[in-house]
Amino acid sequence: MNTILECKNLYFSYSDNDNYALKNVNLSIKQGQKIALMGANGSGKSTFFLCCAGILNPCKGDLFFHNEKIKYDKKNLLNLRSKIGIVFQEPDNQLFCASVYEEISFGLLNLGFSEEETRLKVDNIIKTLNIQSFCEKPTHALSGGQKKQVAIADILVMSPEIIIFDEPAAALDPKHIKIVREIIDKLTENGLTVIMSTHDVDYAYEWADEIILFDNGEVIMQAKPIDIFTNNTVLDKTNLEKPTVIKLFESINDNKINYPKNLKELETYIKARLK
Amino acid sequence: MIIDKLSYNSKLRYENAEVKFAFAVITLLICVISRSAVIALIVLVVTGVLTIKSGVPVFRYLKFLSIPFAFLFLSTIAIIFDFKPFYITINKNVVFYALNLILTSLSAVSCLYFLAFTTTIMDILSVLKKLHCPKIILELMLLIYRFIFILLDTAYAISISQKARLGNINYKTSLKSFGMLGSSLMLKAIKRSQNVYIAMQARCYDDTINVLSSKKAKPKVKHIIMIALFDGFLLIFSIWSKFFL
Repeated sequence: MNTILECKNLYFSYSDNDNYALKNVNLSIKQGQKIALMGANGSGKSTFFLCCAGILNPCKGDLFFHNEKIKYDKKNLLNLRSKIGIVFQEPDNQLFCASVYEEISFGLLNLGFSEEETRLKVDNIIKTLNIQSFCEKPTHALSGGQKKQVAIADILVMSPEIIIFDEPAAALDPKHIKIVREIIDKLTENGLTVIMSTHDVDYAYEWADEIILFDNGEVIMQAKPIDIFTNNTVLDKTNLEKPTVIKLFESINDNKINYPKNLKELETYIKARLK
Repeated sequence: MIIDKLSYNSKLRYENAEVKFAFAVITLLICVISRSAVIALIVLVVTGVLTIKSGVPVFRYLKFLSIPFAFLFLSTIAIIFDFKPFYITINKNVVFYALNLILTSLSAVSCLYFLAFTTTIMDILSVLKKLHCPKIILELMLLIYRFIFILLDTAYAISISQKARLGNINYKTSLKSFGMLGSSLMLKAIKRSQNVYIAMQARCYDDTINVLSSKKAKPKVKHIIMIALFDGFLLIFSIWSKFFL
C-alpha cells in the first residue's frame, strides 16, 4: 500500500513560546488504512487533525500527502482540503447553514462545481446516507445524531481521499453510534482512508488496522491494536484500559497468544474450550 | 422560536416563496401608501384569515398581533390627546386619524406576519438573493439566523445550571447570575465563531458563502391571478377613494 499521509518531526504551538501542542510527531499512514488515534483529552489529537487539513501551520517539520510536501499557499491548501475532510466532534461547530440541503452543497460549490453537478451530488449523498427524511429541515431542528449524519454528508459529498472523524461517537445514543459506524464501515469497504480519534478501546481494537497513541503532544506508539493493548506500559501512560475481549481472554487463557479480534472470536474460543 | 416552528408546519410552506413574498410586499405597499382605513381593514382580515387557515392557531395569531397593537395604542395616545396648560382636549378628526394609523400599521404588520408564518427563512433568503440583495447582508442573515438558536440553547443550558445551584434564590443573586450568563455567553459565542470558521475553512471556504437551496415549488397560475386580482382591486379602490370619496 502507498503512503498517503506522512509527518516528519512535526511541531506545533498555539503560542509563540516552546509550549508545543505537537512535539516531534513522526508517523505514516497508508492508503485505505483504518487508523484510530487514541490518547487522553488534550494530548494533541485534534491539533494533529487540523494540521493534516492545513488549517494549522506547523512551526517545524513537514507533512507529506502522497509523498509530496504540503505547501501552505492558498491554491495548494484548497486542493489539500478537498482531499482531506474532517468531521468535527461538535456538529454545531460545523453546521452553519439554515437547511441541511444548503449545508451539504457548501463544500461542493467552494470546489467550483456547477449548480447542476452540485445538485446531483447532494441528492446522491442524501440518498446514500438515507437522510431524506430530514434533508428539508433546518439544521437547528435536528437531533444530535442527525446533525452528525449531516456533518458526515458534508464531507463525504466532497469525495475526499482521507476522512478524519474527531470522536464520532461523542454524545450520541447507541442507535446513532451504530448508524455512524455503519457509514464508516461502508467507507472503509470502499477503500477510503479513515482516521478516527476515539476513547472506545473495544471499538478501536476491533475496527482499526493500526492505532496511534498520543501523549502530551507526542506519538508514543504506532502499532497494530493487539500490540498496543497488550503493552501495559503504554496503556498506563495514556490512561487506557484493555478492551473487554482481551481482558476476558487473558482471564481464561494463560498462553496469551492468538488473541481474538472480537467478541465473536472469543465466543468461538470459549465454546471450543468447553467441548 | 415559535415563528420558525409555525413557518415549518404551515400548510402554505411548500407554495412558491416568490409568490408569497410578492403578495405580502405588494399588499403592504398598497396598504401603507393608500392610508385608507377600509383598505387596511380588508388587508387585515384577508391576511389574518390566510395566516390562520395556513395553520396558525387563532389565539396565537391574535397574541402576536397584540404586541404591535399595544405599542401602537400607547403611541397614538400622544396624538389623540392635546395637552394644554390647564386642560386636555380631544378632537374627533384626530381620533379618526389615530384609528386609521393603528389600522394601517396593524395591517402592514399582518402582511409581514403572513410572510413570516408561511415562509421559512431559507425561502425568504432565496427570494432576496433573486432580488439581488447584497451578498454580505444575506450571509449575515444566514449566520445570525443559525446562531440565534445555538446561543438560545446555550443560554438555556447555562440558566438551568444556574437554577440548579440556586442561582436565582433572591433578586440580588438573580441579577448576578444574569450578568454571569451574559459574559459567559459572549465568550462562548466568540469561541464558537472561531470553531465555525475553522470548520468552514476545512470545507474550502474562500471568503464567500456559496450554498444551494433545494428545488422549490413552481408558482401556480391560479395563485398569481388571485393575487393580481386582489391587489388590483385594492389599488383601484384606493385610487377611487382618494379622488372620488
